[in-house]
Amino acid sequence: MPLISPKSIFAASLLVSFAILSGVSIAAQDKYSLKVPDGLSFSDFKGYESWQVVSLAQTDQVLKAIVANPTMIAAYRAGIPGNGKPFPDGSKIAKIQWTQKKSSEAPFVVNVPDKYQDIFFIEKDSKRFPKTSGWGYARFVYTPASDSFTPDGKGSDCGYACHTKVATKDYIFHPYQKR
Amino acid sequence: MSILRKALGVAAISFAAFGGAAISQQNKDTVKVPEGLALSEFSGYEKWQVIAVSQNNNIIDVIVGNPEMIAAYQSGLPAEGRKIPDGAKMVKIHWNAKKQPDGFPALVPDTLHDLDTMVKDSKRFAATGGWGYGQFNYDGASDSFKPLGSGPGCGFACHTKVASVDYVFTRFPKR
Repeated sequence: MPLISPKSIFAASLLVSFAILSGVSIAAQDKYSLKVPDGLSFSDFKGYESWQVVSLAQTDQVLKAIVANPTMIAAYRAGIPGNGKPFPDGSKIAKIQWTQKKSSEAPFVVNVPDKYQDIFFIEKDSKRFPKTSGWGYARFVYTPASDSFTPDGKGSDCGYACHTKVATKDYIFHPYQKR
Repeated sequence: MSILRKALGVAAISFAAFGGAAISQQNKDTVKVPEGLALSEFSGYEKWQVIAVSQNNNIIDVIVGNPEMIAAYQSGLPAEGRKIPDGAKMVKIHWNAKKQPDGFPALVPDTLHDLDTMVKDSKRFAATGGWGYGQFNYDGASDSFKPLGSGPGCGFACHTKVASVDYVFTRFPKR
């Protein structure tokens, strides 16, 4: 009997095919099943893709869109936080960050999104997050190669120290932009 | 000038200023490019979904689309040789940019600069590749929009660069 029979080669190739196939199915990640350990679930922000834009920002590295759920948009439009009132429980806001590149098509110099980098989430629940002034924070990092997200760190306070800078605006940096 | 005429003059100016303010706040519904697009054709754009963002020099902008345009993107458009369906609409909101006021090294929107609008109607805009274009410049002092130029062709020459993908520059990045 030869060391490697045609039968075992066939079996091995079946196994490889199976591994590739299941690898593909693993890559189609359900982002809404993700959760920061001891922190926020991605699914708390379901539907963020179609939320209304609040504002934008650009740094040397990234272009950002800040979008918010209807509860938070209604609060902004009622004058919060400028009127001194806090955002209500149920307010949710997401910051989508892309690396940037110069458009290769536009007839003038303009920076446009290149690769998706990460997404930040904040949600208001004064009972659930009393230690961080009512807000819970999370970040999920996107990896283009595997088309998947990875939760960053653990717990729900990752943005708190930074957002304390704008405690007088109920910890929210961006105002709702006139349009 | 008599006192009466002076008083009348002041009254007229007050009325104009007051009336002007009241009119300008409703100007979104009435402003129209002569022989071109009316801003009211894009009613509800304030809430439309984000397509993308961009920045050039002192301007930072967001491009939003109506549900028809978003559906077109989600079906894989724009793509070589394929057409965006009639009824698709986009608005590009340009803001003047300023440094983030809390000390972060970032640019953020300042005042509204203008709105650029595009609507697909292959019959109505047959002469400009099926798209009608409009630009509405925002005037902060009067809190009102002023249409730029006339006719629906203002963006056509520029967008011809991407005629092969039905004249649409902006791509829909993953989010």
